[in-house]
Amino acid sequence: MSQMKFWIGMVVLFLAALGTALSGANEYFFYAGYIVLTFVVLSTAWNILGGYAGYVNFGTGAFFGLGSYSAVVLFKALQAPLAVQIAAAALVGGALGFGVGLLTLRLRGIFFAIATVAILFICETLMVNWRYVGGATGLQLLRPEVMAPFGSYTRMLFVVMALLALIAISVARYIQVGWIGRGLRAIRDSEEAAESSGVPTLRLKLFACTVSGALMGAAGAPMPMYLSFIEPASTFSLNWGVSALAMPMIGGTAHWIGPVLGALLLGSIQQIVTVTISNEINVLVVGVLLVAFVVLAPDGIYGLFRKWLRSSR
Amino acid sequence: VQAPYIGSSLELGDYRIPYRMLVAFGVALVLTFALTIYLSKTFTGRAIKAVAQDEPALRLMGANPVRIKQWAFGIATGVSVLAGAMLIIIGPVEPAMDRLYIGRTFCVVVLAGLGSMTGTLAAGLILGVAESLVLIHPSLGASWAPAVAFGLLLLVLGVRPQGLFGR
Repeated sequence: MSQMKFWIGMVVLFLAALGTALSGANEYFFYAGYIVLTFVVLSTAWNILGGYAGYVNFGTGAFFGLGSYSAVVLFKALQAPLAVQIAAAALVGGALGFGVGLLTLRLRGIFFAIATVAILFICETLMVNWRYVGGATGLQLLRPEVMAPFGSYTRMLFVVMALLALIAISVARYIQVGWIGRGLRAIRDSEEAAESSGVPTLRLKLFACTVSGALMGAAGAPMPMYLSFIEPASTFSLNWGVSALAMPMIGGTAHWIGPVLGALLLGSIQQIVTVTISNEINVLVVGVLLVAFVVLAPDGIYGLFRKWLRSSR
Repeated sequence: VQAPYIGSSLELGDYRIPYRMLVAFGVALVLTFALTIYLSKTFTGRAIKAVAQDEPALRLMGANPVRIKQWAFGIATGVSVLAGAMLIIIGPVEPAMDRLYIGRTFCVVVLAGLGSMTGTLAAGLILGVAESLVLIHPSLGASWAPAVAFGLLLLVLGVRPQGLFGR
């Protein structure tokens, strides 16, 4: 029953996104909404490894950025359609996740976190030195013609990102409720105990890392088209990683709804702050909220909600 | 920032070593050896090492792991602040310098092996020489320099995760 409810909810949400995109709502709503939805995908993807299994990934920007750049390469070389770009970006992101995982997930402790930071900066340096995709100065991109039912390209990208967000949420939920999620939670609580009770820890971690990387890569693919421009410094910014880490922490890492809540809340606040105050305050907002939640409500909004449910009963 | 030793340098035959570099190098050496002695000789120092190995065992010995960790974090912050202060006599500083140092720090620590104090000296030298080599290499140059620290780091993680000098 709850299975049915979930899927009906997903379809309703997608139709709602499609409806708003076809309606006459203000263009800026889609411009800002796209970024918020990107954060929903990124934080949901981060939570699959970081929240369920407890392996912290600081390199969200690397997966996201490589996704963007694979889309750009495909677009520049073959004029590939957006769907192909997204699929390729997901493949590249997944492959990177698998590689990093293979290299460091055999080790316990902080090595994985360190390696993800390293990957981020290595990817940035590679792209800075690759002339084909514009190097350090970046590359201007000409958007193709917008497809039939949509009024503008931003609206179409908004719907595409909404679809990606719903896919990410479904994948996260599928992982969470099944045996994979139980295995990952066992790894987070005690890796030794999990291993000795027969949980294939390395394979599960690799699987989570690959899926998480693929989703992050897919989230990066439409970004160059959204901006009509790509440049390494902002694409591989450490801020993607910090946000993707802060949002699930604030929303609650135990449940798939946590990162969604966190991303919607924090992403909207960021967009409002960008418009009303300034772009630089953004990062400060993320930092202050993260510290406040870690100290006051370590289980996030979802945890607060659960506590409130229990006490009001 | 003004100091009498900034601007002058020690001349050894063909080589010129600026005194400001020597001062920073000396402070780094003194700090490393002071920390090594502190960690191996004093009670708190040994407790810091113990808390990394086995927390319940440390609690059984009558020390409070949380207090030890707070103390260790304080020392770590203090030492990195000193390092930051030395930076101003080496060259210009600006707020966005963080990225370079995240990489170099991680690289040196992993290369040395987590917890090895004297190892960091050797690892720091290795990284410094490697970065300078890439910097003056005709076909690589400055745009590749940031990748050195991280590439070295990944290499060590893949081949020898306990570090060159770790147990």
